[in-house]
Amino acid sequence: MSGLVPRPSAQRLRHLLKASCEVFQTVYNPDNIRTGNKILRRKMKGPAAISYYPIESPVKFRHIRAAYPMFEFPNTPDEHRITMNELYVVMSLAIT
Amino acid sequence: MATKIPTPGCFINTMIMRDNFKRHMAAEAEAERRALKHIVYNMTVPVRARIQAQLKLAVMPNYTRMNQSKNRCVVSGKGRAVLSEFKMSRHQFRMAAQNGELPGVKRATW
Repeated sequence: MSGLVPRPSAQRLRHLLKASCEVFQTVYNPDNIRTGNKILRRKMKGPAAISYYPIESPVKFRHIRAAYPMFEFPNTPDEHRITMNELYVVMSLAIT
Repeated sequence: MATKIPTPGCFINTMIMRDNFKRHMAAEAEAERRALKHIVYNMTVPVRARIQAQLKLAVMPNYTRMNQSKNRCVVSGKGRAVLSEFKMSRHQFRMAAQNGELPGVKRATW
């Protein structure tokens, strides 16, 4: 098996590798020196990390209310809160 | 602080504010950290420069590290049992799913 085709010399193999790298546009590193390229290859995680929490909307309920005074925008949760507070006051007075 | 970090639009909590700050700081420093790490790993660079880069990396504040950010629940601020697909902790997820607020999520039966 080994005698069928003689193995090319190391220099020739290097030339082949260099030519191959030029053709396929890959980095030529025959001695496998660690260049730290794997660190640069990685994707950046910054934008994805920042976008985890949604950005606060610049337009708030009070802005819409102020912009369209002719319309009535009921603030149901707040009105519920106020009625409950009034109830608490009434109940505390009833108890005493 | 030169640029103001935007306030999150979800549930606000001390822990969420801290995590948000860390995320922004880590994103800011990511390029610098990446460059320093590259120098450390690069064997063609002289040894002294590599060591200096490693020290610089070690001295960088903890809030510049991407590992320090934690996915918190966006509704309750809980740091544990958070499903990253929904950004909610397990109880909040359960409540939202049973209310039908999560599209395509239903009780598993097979």
